[in-house]
Amino acid sequence: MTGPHSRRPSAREERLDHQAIPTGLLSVQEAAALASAGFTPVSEVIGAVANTVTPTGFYSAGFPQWGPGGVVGPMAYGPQTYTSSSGNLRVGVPSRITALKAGYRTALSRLSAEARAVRADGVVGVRLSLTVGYQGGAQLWRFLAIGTAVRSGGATHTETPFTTDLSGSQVAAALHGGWVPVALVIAPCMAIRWVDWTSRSQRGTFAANVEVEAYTDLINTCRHQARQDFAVAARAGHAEAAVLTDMSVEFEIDQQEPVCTALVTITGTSLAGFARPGPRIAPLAILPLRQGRTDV
Amino acid sequence: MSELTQPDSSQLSETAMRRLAELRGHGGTGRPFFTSDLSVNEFLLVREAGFRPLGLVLGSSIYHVGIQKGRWTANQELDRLSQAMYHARELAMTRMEAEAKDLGADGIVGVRLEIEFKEFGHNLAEFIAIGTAVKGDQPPATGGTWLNNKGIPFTSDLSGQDFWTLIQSGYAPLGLVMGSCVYHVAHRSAFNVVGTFGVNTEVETFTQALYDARELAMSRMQAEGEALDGEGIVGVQLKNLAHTWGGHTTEFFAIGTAVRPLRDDHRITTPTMVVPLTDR
Repeated sequence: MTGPHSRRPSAREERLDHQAIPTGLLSVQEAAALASAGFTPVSEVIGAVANTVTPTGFYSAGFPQWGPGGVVGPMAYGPQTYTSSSGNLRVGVPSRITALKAGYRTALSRLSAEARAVRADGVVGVRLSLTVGYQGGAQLWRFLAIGTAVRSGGATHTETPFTTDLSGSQVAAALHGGWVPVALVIAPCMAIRWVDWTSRSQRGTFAANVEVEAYTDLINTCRHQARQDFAVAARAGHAEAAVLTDMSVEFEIDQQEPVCTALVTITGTSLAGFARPGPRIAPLAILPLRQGRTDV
Repeated sequence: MSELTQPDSSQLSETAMRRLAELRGHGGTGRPFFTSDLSVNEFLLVREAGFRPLGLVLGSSIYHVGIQKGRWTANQELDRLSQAMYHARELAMTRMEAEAKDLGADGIVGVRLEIEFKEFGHNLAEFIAIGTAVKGDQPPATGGTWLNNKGIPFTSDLSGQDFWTLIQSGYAPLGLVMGSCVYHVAHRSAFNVVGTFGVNTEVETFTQALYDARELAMSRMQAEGEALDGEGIVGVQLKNLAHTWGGHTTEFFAIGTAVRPLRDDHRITTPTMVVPLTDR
């Protein structure tokens, strides 16, 4: 396989190669904050990929459908949640999750390749997005990762630039506090569960105040697994900590079958601690002379 | 800015890059790993306050909220709904606390309590409590532990910034306290509506209803604070949550952090005044 940028538009390549002035997507504050930590912006970098996807769910992956007479079916699996990760995988991985993981991975690796091409040491303020469109009969998933490449003023440079969705100011604050970003981590996880009779009665219109156990179990198991996956992925880069920036949950109840599914996506940045040079800076208590009750 | 003793900026980036290079080379230090949903600034301040984040903790419950008939023309608390809103939050909180206890935490900071009514199914809502479990590097200087009087990790919805200020000034959080009241505000009779047509006047039944409902929510929160032997409750938010019940039924929800004093003087370093050069 050739590099992800073998098909990169040559005009963009040319411009990045001969760019005389730094560009990027940073605000003035962010750029100033980064400068105080010894990083200067190089250029904006992007990684994009569009895939046609037929997003099939757990049924195609082996979770049995409700049979005639209702004998064979999800029921056979008992009141338990199954996820798309290896922790409690029994029914296979839906193509939807494979497509999500592959899409984000490709977009991020293309972003990193661009950053390497401009000899950057890191990419800050990365924004990840997924737009779903339609082309012909299939869905078209467009993944986009966009951020600002930055370079260190020191002599040491890295082969693999760090990536982070933290803003320039946050990165600077982390560096001053002795933490360096390692990588942007995104961990999607799906789960499915049979909605047993108890839970079906619990969610009935005339049911009393009661917890719907199947749904709670599904969401909790899925979130738990996603958090574990996230931690494993973050640790894979030998990081020591991670800050979460987003945790989203999509919950769906099947219209035909008595099952429910969930998709949890966790996004964040892994960090590594380092012994920062110079004396420790204590936080400075300040009193902003602003009007009104605003947060600083 | 000289008193800030900033290190040479290129020296800082150089050290950071060396650490990163070392990381790519031969791996980590075997130090414990944690995740947190605190922002970077909050995370650094929590460290500065002498606490180490242990991990993200959360608890959730999907709850079916029962239905209750209220009289169309009566100002009344819908106690069944109040109970549901309270019980479901309690379930989520308890699960979050259990996760924190498993991690050996002293407390949970930055707790967010969210409710999401799901569009599928009638009266179904997810109640979720999420926060970062922390452990103190040292027990409080005045002795004892960071745990609250019930022997469980403290909880607090304060931000990292507020948490730092609180600890600096000699207070410790005890627990997140809350009170809920779902109230039905009476509809006005046709006679009453006609009577006030085109007139600037106070609608007393409405005013009274809002007072009563808020009072109920606040007093329930206060009772929780007293049960924790708190000195007081800080950061109280009083919210009107309409949820999905229509205009006349509202949840009044009071939430805050009960605190206890760690020492007698409560002074922080005199703040430095700044005039920010940002637009707003």
